[in-house]
Amino acid sequence: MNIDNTQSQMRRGVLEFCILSVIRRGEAYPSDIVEEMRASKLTVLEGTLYPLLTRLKNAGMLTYRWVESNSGPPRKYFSLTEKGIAFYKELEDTWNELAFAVNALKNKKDSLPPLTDNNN
Amino acid sequence: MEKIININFQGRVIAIEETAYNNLRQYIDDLEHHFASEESSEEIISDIENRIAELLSERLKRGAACITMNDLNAVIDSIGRLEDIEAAEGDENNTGKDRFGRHGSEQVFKDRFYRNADDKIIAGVCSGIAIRTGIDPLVVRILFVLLSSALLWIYILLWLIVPSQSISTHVTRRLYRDPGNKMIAGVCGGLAAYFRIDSWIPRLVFVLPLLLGILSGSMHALWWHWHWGLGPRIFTGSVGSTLFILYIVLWIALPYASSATDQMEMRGERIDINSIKSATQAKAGIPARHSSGIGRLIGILFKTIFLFIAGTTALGLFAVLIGLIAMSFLTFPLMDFLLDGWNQNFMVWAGIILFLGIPMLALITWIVRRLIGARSHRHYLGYVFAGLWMIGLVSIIVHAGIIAKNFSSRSVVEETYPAYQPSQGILYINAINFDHDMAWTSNSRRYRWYDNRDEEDTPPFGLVGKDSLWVRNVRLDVVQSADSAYHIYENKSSYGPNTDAARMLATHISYTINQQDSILNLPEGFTISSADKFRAQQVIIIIEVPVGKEVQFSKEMHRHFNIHIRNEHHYMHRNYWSHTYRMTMSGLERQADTSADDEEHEK
Repeated sequence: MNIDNTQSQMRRGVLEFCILSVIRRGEAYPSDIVEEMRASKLTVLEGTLYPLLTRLKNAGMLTYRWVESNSGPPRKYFSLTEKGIAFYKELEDTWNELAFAVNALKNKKDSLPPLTDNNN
Repeated sequence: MEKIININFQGRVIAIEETAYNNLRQYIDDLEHHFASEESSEEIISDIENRIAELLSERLKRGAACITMNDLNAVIDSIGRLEDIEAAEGDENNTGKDRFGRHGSEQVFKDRFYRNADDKIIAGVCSGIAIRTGIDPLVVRILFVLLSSALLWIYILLWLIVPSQSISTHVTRRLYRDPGNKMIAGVCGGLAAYFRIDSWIPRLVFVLPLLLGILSGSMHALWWHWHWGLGPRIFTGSVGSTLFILYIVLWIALPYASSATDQMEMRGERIDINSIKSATQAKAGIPARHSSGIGRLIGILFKTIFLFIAGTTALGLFAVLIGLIAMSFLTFPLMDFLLDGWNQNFMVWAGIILFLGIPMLALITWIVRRLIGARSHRHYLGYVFAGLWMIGLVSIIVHAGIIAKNFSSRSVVEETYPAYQPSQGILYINAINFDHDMAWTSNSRRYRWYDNRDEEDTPPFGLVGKDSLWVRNVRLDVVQSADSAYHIYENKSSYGPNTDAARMLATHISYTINQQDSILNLPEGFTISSADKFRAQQVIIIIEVPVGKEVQFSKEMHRHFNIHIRNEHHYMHRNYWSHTYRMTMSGLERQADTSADDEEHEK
């Protein structure tokens, strides 16, 4: 078992949920999403964020519009679609259940019942 | 010292050091390859490029004079290096990538059978088989071509059933001419490199039959003399000349391995230069486009029909060309009688060889190129072929005109043959067959180009010796005499460029009539010398038969003569040679049967 591998699998599992959580609050520019997540001690590479956003957009979860910027060409701002909101709600439920279950398991202090010898 | 260049990157002007620029290009290329299998890879790349441009221009705004390697590295780190992106995406993406990507693709394709869309001549069946079995694609192709009659349907079946797939194969080897190992044109060196054998082997294969041909050629006369049959020359001669032509064709068809890449390809070495590698990988990364089932089927059906028709047409043309060339060479000795002098001979033959040979050479070259998948670096070849063919065509047209002019005037020379009056009041007309064996001396036997004396029809012309042509072009007219005597006239006619020349040629016709009492012997043909040329010379024998007198034709006449008889009904009886004809006021009249022949007749 590789610790890095397990950690990255855990992060990857919640990555979409985290991104959608940021976008849920309003139109978001990708680098703002990265900043938001970094502020919450979650690192994401822009190189992985862009393909993810594009996949979510292709799946109809996200939409975007071009917003003029004062420092150059217009930028792409992403927001949730109706379908995306529903998708987010489901992910949120799952996350809550999962977090509750994980915390419950993690916080249990009592030891497991002792082994009995009636296996035969 | 660093060169700084200005680039327009996603709508922003960015001053950047050249090395940094090259690294940026490399980075974006890498990303493109990485995301190539993605549905909207272009959009992803464009988004990332936009972001990079934004970050770079921010750095410039903060006061940097230009983008250095350090700036670029910082930006790339924040976007993520390719390894990091791959690691972050983990297995999720790689399952899709392994099928088409750079990792372990060969292994996958060795276990499953695809048609190779990347290395194909018709549909990639052969190279697919080659990858599946590990045999050289060229070997599989040659096998399919040799056994095409049996394997054609298997090929079409596989075409229909097996899916197509882009497979960047292990190492592709190509046939080139080797400039580093050449005696004449490097063909043998290239073959040796391709098949990974020593270069003396192909050289020996090409040269040995030629050497044996020379040896056996000198022994051939001896062989012939002892009547040992066909002799070794049949084998060595044909193989040697085939290989000679093959060498020429390969010389024309194969490109020179001039660049380092070509030479590595020639030896089948893996080409490790980064750009070439990434170029082939980029191609491999894009999965083959599949159309729907029915559309694909119709497409393949049309392709098959097209290929079938094109192939049949090409084969037909090929056969016709070979036939024409063979015919030209068969008539070779006869051409002396048609053409004037060495110059005209040379021009006409050169014309014919160019006109017929060039399309054949072009066809063979094309087939060979398709077979070995040689890539042409030379586009002038087609123009050269077309030019030579045009020269041949013009030469033929010009000489056809010159020859036609030689036939423009006609002249007739009339001679009277002093006829004996047959004592019985009947003239027997007999044909003398040309005595071929008398005429053909042992020296000239090779010039005999037809020998079918046993058949009904003797050939209309043939060679006698080296310089005389025998022509069977004699006509017999039987008409009414104005007085009470038989008369025999001999009209010799010929064509020529002008009347005088035609007249001279007509007088040169040697035709000898011979009469012994009541039997008139007419030779079936006459000879003309090669100095006189063939100008459609003809002899017309006119026999005037007085009213009340009779005439009879021998059976030989029927075979060899063009007989015109004015009889009372203006038709010829079928077996006219078995009857006696009497001249009447209204023409020849058939007499009562001398034999019990039927009354059937024919117009």
